[in-house]
Amino acid sequence: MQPADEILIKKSRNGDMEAFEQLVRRYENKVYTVAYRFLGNHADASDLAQDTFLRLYHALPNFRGESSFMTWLYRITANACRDEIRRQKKYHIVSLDNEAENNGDYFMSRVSGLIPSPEEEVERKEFNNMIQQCINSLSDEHRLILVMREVQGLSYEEIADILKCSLGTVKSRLSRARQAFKDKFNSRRELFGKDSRLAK
Amino acid sequence: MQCLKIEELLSPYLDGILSPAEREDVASHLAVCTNCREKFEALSEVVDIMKNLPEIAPPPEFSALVMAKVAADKKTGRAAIFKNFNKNNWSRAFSLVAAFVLVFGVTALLYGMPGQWRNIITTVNVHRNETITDDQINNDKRVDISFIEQTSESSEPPGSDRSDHGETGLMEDKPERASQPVDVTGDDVPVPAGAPVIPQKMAEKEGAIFQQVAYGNVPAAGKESSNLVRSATLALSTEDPCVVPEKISDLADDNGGYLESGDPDSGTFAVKVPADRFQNVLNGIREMGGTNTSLITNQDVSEQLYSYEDNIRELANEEQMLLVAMDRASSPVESQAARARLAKVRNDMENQKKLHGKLLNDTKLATIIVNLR
Repeated sequence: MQPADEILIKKSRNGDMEAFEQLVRRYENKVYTVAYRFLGNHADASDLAQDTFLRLYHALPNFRGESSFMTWLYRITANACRDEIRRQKKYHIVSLDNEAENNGDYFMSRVSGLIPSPEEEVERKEFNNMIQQCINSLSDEHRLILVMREVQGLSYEEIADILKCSLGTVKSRLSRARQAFKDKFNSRRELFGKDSRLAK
Repeated sequence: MQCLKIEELLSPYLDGILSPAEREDVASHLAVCTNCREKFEALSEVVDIMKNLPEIAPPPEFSALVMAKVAADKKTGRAAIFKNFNKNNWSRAFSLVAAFVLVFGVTALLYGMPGQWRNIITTVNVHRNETITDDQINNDKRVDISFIEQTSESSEPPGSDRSDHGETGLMEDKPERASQPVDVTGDDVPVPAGAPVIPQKMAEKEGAIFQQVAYGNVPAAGKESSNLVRSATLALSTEDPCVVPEKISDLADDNGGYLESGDPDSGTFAVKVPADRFQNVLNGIREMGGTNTSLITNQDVSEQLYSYEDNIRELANEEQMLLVAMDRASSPVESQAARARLAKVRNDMENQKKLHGKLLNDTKLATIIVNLR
């Protein structure tokens, strides 16, 4: 039986690196997915996810258990994403590659759902790639708030707290981000193929 | 509700965070508006698509990479505050230090090194628990008064020598004056010449001085010039009593004054003119007709003005003592009594200042009353 988060946290605080590694393994998919959805390529996502876990390691002594560990970790992840935007803006970083576009999601989890046929699997991958391209083409602000809300499932209050803005701003920005994503999706859906059942 | 407004609410409606009233509005609108309903369904679809995107697993070596990073971070052993410092952070920190050095340098240039600040800048809160003796309070009073005198008259205190205060010559005046009290009141408060000033006392005083400037300073009464309230009453015989009042009013306007009151029935008019134009206007009015009687008064109100100023100073001193008393009150009753007295003192002070201001204003504006016949 897997030890509870609280036990692993306590051990990690006391310098038990194995316990911390267990925590990393337990939540690496969650954190990595957020980083990937936000950045759109594996190389950057890996760096951001590693940075997030490093932040987690330093922040562990401050975890008081007022929220669930998952929520708390997601806040750290969102903060790392927000800081990444600031860093990129400062250095005008432009990604030259787009693995999602070229290579597909090699590491897509296969643990959930029924086993699809090879054709369906290919089509699903392409469809997900198309969605990721839509996300990638959004502005930093829209991408961040969409990932926080739709991928991480953070509440409006949590998003406002992380972004240091009002609830009204979150409401309007998320609304605009969804609209922008919908526009991108509608235009790309036509290119994706009218006969694709996934695009319907 | 308009479709445009509804469209803005679709996103929060989808998340269920609207108020009950708004939710009801949107729901009822969607029930009847096909266009908005289609938009809502499209929005729901894309949100569902994003929410249902699959989880992505990192490369198998990911956790090992994290652990290596943590280990490397621990090994460097840097202070936590510097852990995430990049080049830009360092340059920012350097800028902060440079700014601090600059501010310190300018301050040192103006006020000297920190060891020399003691005589210049004192704080109110140091030594709060020490008791004040009557003698100290008297000294406080004396210095406060001297400061007011100096402020209002803008004169150098006797014996002060600015060249002693530093090589830069940029030393602030006020703290220097406060730290070198000079008895200008002429009263009988015993003050030994050159008596050392206790920093604690100065700290108390500094607060008193700043507050006293706010409450106690009064416009200078103009001791060099005479404080005369000038007025004239004259009987003017004219053949054209309808035109003369207008002429008088125009004359007053031209000289920077105004017609204060006028009663055509009784033929009495009063004008206010600047004191220095008093004689000109008076001569001008006389030329409008024949004057057989006139009464000119020059009332010297200097004593009255000085009396008001003295009252204001005394009230200001009392105010400061009450503030100290409130601060040091040992019981709520004492504090309450001091506060009540303080309110009365401040009220009296405001009244005195108003009377003083009015009288001073009277010395600037002369009155001429004309009786037309």
